[in-house]
Amino acid sequence: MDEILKVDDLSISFQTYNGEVQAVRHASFSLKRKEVLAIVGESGSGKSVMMQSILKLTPCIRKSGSIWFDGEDITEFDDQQMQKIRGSKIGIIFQDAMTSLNPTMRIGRQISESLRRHQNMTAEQARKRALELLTQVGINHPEQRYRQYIHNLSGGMRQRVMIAIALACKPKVLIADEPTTALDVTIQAQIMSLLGRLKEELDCSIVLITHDLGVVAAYADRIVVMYAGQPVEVGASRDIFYHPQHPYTRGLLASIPRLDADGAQELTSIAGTPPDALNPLPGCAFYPRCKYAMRICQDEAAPNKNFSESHCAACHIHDAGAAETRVKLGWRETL
Amino acid sequence: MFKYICKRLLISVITLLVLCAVVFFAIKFIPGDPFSGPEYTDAMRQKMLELYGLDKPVLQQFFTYMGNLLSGNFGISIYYTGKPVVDIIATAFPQSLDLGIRALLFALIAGIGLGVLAALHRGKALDYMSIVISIIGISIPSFVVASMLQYIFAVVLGWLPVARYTSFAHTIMPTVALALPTIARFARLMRTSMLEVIDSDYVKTARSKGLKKRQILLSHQVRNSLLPLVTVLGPTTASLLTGSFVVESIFAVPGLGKFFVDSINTQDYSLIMGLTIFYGAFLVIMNFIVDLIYGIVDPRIRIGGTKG
Repeated sequence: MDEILKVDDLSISFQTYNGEVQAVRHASFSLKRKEVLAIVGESGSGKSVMMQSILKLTPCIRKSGSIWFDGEDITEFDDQQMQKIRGSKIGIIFQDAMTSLNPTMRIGRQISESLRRHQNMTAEQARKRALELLTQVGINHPEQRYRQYIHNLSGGMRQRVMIAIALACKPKVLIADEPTTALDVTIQAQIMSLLGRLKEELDCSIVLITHDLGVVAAYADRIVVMYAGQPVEVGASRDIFYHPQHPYTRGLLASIPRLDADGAQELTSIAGTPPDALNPLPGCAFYPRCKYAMRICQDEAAPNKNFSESHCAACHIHDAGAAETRVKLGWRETL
Repeated sequence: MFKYICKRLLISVITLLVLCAVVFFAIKFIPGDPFSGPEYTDAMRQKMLELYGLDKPVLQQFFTYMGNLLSGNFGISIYYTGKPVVDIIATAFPQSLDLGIRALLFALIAGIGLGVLAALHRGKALDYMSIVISIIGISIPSFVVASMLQYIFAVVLGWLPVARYTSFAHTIMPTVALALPTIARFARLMRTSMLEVIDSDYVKTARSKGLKKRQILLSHQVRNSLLPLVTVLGPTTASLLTGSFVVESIFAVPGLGKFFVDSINTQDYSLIMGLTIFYGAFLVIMNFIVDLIYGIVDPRIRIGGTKG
């Protein structure tokens, strides 16, 4: 069993006053053991919802699909069964550690809580382990921090505590939901290298949810690019950065500001507005913003095309019949 | 912390002094005096005023009173002839205190419980039931509730004694009647803050740790919802403990409430002053205690404003 987590044809909806919001639409991906998988997409592309719905942390409706974890179908698990997986086998780090940690509970207790729940530790054992964890995530004076509250800590330290909580029971999978978005750049780098180190120490897989391609480039083994609740391109980091095959991926890469660019040059962006999750388009969701849009894109969703064993993208531009169009629209095979 | 307590004590003393002064002069401004009733002739009235020192200038009376107060002398009641005010408070307060503690405990348990249940069942039958109870509790005056309780449980069903305050069975109806408005207030407060906490990120984190629902409810949700309740706890406690005249008189509880109203009706200067100072001091102390409790319930609030 090479895959620790496998999601197949997952669709997630929310019921709102305005109607049904289709947050995730027919998403499939898998996470291999010991790999770092990045899920990249703009805000509202469904990446967080998708991962949180795997742990059943959000109240949403699953329309289709199945979720497999460690060879077991957890799609229909109830809350009791999920409690045994949450925290002990799958840990999750949220974006904003300030609001994601309990302001009135001592840091030590917030860490030892899950140790006592999942590993049947006594209070004293849990305390020792929590102190170890604090040291492991690079917090000085763990004894002192153990007794403090989050308002005593800086942003970076809070995120370290968050990581300590998520990794307390040595989970097999760590979901990091934009772990560095709320932090400044130097702390971002520290947190990311901490995650990289801990991944080696604990032998776990990481799902890294982010919209920062810079973070992804340095740490991810594979990348899933999501748009409007669908993975549009999946591939190894190398494939995505050097041979992107979906116009959206190319747009994202072109939008990264370059240090060596002329100062007067305007920043590149993808024209248009993000898709409307209430009224998804019948064809390709990216169609209205796509430079290479063809007539077929409006009516028909593109099938996945494999470029190599690990690399696939869903775009009509790669159809055999579109060869002429590719030339006409100026599609280049490589960047 | 020590500095803070000293500061608070000083402010409390000043508050009480101002209270004394305001009440003292206010009651002097009420037309008439304790002896202006038709049962006194002018000569008798004059004699009585001289006896109690009420014929002297108001300012002199004030300083005499305050001087006595400092030496712990609350004076003698005028209406209950010859009875020291302190004795009246000492005999009546235990009843009010007993009833108040019962009502407070009942209100805390029922109010928090009802609020939590309502929040957990948002939009469902239980939630609406708690709203109905709250509206009844807040809008129906306690003399109506008390009389209805009396009629239903004592007169019609005969389960509980009608009035007086001698055994546990006697305490049930006064407790319920006194606690009901407080239950309603606590339940509403608790429901609102609970709903806020339920949707918070740290509850999601608690769930992501795989904690049991009960564990999350007790150590994360309820605890963090308590703060608004603590805020109103001080004045609420003081008013419950010092007695409600209406409930006490309907159930014939020999508490402070009766003396409070009587003292004003009879212009019993020393009793009015004594009870007001007692009530005021109680309120000040309760608020002080609540401020100290804040720091325990919410560690973000640091008493004294110093960084640790």
